[in-house]
Amino acid sequence: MNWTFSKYQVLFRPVDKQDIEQLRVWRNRDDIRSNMLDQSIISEQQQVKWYESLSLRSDRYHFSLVFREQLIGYANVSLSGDSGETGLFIGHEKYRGSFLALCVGVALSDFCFNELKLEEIKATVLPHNSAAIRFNEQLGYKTEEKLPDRIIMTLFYEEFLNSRKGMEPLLSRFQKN
Amino acid sequence: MNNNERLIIAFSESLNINPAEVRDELAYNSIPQWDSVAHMVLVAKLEGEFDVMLEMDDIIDMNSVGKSREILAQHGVVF
Repeated sequence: MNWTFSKYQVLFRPVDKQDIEQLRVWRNRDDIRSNMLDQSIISEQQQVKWYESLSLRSDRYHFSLVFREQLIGYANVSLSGDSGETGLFIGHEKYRGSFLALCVGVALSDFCFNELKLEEIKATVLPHNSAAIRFNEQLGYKTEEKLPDRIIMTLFYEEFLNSRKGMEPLLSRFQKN
Repeated sequence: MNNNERLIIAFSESLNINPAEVRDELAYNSIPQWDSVAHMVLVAKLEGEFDVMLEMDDIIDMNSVGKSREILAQHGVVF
């Protein structure tokens, strides 16, 4: 489904065909791929096929992330009733592991709760990915289930609001005047 | 106290870590103590300590101790 919004100066817009090769290159990088559930290398052909399938599902949102007119990464939301599962990666070298990634996480959660009116957001993280676990915890996620090969984390609106409140002084500087 | 020592103390107090752990390579989100909330505390601490106003780009770029020193130097702080 198509939706465009902007928050903290990051534009979330539908994935464009021109984005998909850069997204594929980032997605295939070892440091990104190794944290994915599906760690296979994606071919150009598979990527085109994936792109062509995006409009077929009404329960998925796929976003290209743009900051200062540069593609910086990708995010998605998969709906399941009142629940949603999110995923994102920042591929642009300058912004990987920066505070901007957290801005993206807050903006995406905000979109899920306030636009999609979801009751909860889930995230599936590989057990070795301590950075993602910490990242999610900063957003207010709590571990719901620990499986041998994955950790399921859940975020409720109340916890999200509490976490965002603590970050507001710095986040507000990222709002455009 | 010189500016380098002030920088180390600012990091140590904001992240609640031992001053000996404050090395140039120490990176944002590489330890549990340097999370986004601590980053916020750190930004405020550095601004107060060195009387500077950090821009959005500075806050994004400030992803290690070494980089923070560089950014402060760009704001006229002499190390």
